[in-house]
Amino acid sequence: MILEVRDLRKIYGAGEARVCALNGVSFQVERGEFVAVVGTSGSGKSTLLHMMGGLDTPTSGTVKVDGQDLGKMSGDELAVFRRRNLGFVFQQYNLVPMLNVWENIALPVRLDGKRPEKAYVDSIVQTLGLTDKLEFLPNALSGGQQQRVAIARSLTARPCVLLADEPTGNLDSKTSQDVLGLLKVTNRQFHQTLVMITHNEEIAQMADRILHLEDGRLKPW
Amino acid sequence: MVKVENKEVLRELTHRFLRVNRRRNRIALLAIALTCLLFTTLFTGTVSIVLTKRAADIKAFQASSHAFAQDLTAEECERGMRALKDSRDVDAWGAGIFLGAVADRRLGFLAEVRCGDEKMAKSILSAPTVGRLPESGDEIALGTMTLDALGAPCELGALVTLTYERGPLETQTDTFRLSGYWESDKGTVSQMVWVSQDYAQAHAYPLTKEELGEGVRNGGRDLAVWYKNPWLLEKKTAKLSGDGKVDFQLNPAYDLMEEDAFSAGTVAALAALIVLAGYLIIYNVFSISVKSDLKVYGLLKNIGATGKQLKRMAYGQAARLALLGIPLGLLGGFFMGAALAPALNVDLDRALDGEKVPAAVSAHPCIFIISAFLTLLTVYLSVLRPCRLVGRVSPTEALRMSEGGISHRKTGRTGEIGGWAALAAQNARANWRKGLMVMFSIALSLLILDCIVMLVQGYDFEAYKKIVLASDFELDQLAATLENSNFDGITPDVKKRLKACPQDISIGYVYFERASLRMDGDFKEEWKRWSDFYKDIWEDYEKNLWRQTYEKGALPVHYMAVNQAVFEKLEWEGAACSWEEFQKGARALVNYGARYRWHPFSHRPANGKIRVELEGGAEKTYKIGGEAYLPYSMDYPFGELYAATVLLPETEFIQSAGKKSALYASVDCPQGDRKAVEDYLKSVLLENNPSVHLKSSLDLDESFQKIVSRYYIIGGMMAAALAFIGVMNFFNAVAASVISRKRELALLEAVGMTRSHLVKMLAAEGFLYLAGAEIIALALVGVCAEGLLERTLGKAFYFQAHAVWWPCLAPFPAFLAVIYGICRRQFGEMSQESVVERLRSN
Repeated sequence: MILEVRDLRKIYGAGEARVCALNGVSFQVERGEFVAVVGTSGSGKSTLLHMMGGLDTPTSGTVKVDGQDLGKMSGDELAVFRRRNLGFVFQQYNLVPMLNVWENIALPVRLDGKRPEKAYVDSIVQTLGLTDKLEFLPNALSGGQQQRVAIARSLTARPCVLLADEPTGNLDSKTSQDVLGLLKVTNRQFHQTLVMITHNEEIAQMADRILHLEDGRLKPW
Repeated sequence: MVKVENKEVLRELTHRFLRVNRRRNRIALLAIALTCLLFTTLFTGTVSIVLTKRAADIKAFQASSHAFAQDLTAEECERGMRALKDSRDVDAWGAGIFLGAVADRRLGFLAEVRCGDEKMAKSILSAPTVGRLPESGDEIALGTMTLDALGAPCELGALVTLTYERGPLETQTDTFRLSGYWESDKGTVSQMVWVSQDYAQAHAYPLTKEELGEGVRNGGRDLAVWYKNPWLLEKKTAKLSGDGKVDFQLNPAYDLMEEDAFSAGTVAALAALIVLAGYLIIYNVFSISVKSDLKVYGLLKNIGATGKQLKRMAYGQAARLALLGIPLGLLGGFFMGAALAPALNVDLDRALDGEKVPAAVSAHPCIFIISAFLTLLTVYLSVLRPCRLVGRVSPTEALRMSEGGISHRKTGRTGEIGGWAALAAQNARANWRKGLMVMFSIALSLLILDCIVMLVQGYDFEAYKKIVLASDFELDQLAATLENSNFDGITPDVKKRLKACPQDISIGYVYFERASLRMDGDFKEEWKRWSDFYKDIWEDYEKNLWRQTYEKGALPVHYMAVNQAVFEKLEWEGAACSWEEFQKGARALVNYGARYRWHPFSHRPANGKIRVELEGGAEKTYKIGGEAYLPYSMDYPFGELYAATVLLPETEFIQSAGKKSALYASVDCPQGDRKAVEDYLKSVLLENNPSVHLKSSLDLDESFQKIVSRYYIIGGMMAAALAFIGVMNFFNAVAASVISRKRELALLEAVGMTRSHLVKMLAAEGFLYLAGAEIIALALVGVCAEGLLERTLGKAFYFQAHAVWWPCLAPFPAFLAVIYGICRRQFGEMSQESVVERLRSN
């Protein structure tokens, strides 16, 4: 087991403005598994991903990645943990605009004071079809290409878990299929654990397992 | 926490941030360079003032050592030397003996016969440059001016015959062989004549402690001390005095705590103002820069950058900009300080003495180190908050921003869209905090401008001139100290040359002789009442002095005589006496000196007569003709506890005192002739009588102009710097406002608002800020400008602050034009994108 979420709750606001975004969510993900979390808008998908990625802190409950409890870490410890153990792919790609493709891909590893493993990164770049785009700045790439860069970046540090938040939300259907295919390939080829958040049940079908989130709770599928 | 070596990537990211924000950074760079320039100018100027003043003081006191002890007996000198040998603070010291003043009428200036070592000769600024100090009994060394006056050639080995006062009422004449000489400095208070140790031991007057108390100085020993460093001089001197039981005094030239217009407090206040000004703009630029990049910082945090790493990146940007800006500022500031030095060093008193002390400019490393440090401190303080913001950026907030989340910009309370003016008011209200900073920086600049004008207008230079210089020109041979002053400096030779002036001039003379007034009978009783009245304000030593005088029964009198030109300048208390009556010689005018001018007791003897005893023993009784005061610049020049002044006509004085030389000469001429008269006095009179001092109203006028220029230059620079900072802050505020309202402005344009309306709306916001700045500035001028000036730069007696409003209001149109230009430009730049593009933007 690489990821364990236990009785996770997240409450925003207080009194009348109180919103329970997650209400006792528990599940586990095995190493190398591809899990899709499906839910409508406002169901708490993104909140769940933020908790799993240590980007936000839960009101109660625990998130353990590779046996380590994220709730017990300080802000900076979480940042270090993220760059070493977690990869993120966002709907908005979130590439650093002033860095070129290669620099964006290498950034998490270099922030950790290391040099990227050339052979490994080359294989990712090749798999994602970015070989001839390495010198480009993000704003010179199409949406699909930017998302590929984001996937490559998330894989470079060999994370325990790759968290993808609506990775095809900004892409047309053809490009979406390409990106999903690539995610599946990385899951297989690099034995990469993958948790994908999506509202699209059709896309979710590509996963090994689907979790259905509704009003902050997991519903049986 | 695991420490990782990731400096390289952080450096690279910092560099990229800088490159991306190149335009914004130019403003930050300019602000940093400007801050550093102001600091460097301030410290270069301050050091220049200190060094120039020190050079002038060293000359005035004729002492270059850090401290000295004067007029010591042989025993005291021994004790002092032991303390000097034992002290760890002392680097070097010199010793000497004062044998006596040269008694030779050919000189016409003061010269002192001394023996001393090299150090002492250097301290008194009279070390031989040709030859050496005397070593054997018949050797002598002296300055060229004294050699000329004695008619001896400037040749080593030449014979020099000298007469000097060896002791009280005792003169000595000897012939010496010239062992060394130097080019005399006419500006020093006294010329030195060096004799050897052997000669001094054989001829020095055996001075006793009692004689010292009576004012005898012949045979007095002097010590000059240099410490290892110039820090804590006062403390070291006090310790030395305690150790040796000898009164060592700190050379006033090194007394940095002395209050003047540019005191340490003023420098600190100016430095604080620069820190504030620099902070306002650097903080604003960085704040905008960081906020614009906050999304990227958040994304970096998402992928694992820690808060510390992000902060380091933000600090790194500030450090790199500082690294570029500080050298530029240091260089520019040094040259600006050096250029301002002559104006900064204008000194009215020195100008009056006709002294031209060149402005000293120092490139001491401390100036640059302190300026760079303070600039770095300002930059650090300015970026502290923006960097903290970067460190605390929330990764989820960054995600929301990148997803085009709702802007947090305040929109004000009313949702109704009115005209452009209403929108401007609404936006100004929503951004009042940012606006306050803009308003304050502009208001500060207006306040400083106003203060400068108030300062210049507040100086009543005519009133000053009337007091310090009662005529167009005044001549004397007075020095900084009583002992070195020549009270008979206006010799018949000088008078002859004055009379020969080709221009139509009016010449006045004031003569001086010390005398005494016997206190007996009722007169003594009256003096007792007088002293009882004043003893509360006297210091202890003054009370003692008075007691001695009272017991002795003789009151000191300044016996002064005037001719008609000076008589017409007299200030009267009560009825005036006519010149015709006065010049007959039977009447005397009296006063007790300015300190007791408004005393409540009559000082006139009951019989209306005054009997004066001259120092030679002669006595004469005069009828009192009235109470009159000489103009300040022509009165007795040194402070005295009490002394009656008896004024007599010139002819009467020459007859009774038997001397023809005067203390002062005054020259008045038509305004248009002043230059020609000054040229004559300088080229003919001073050339032939080099020890005469000339006070010129032309020098004073020139100095006034320089002072006015100094205030305008310094104040103008500060006002301009602050105005620039205010405008830059406004520029930033408009830029931030336009960027954050890009979509909103596009929307307004889409629904029919013209570009002209939008520019007007932005300019109206600027107008509101400007109006706010004006109100703040006017309020500050009204509330604190007068007090501020009177407590800092306007301490002079001839300064009277009056509130002036126009300098606050005059720059309004210029500011308005600048603001309109900035708004137009900012909107123009934004309009390069189409309305549709802007509407689509997040």
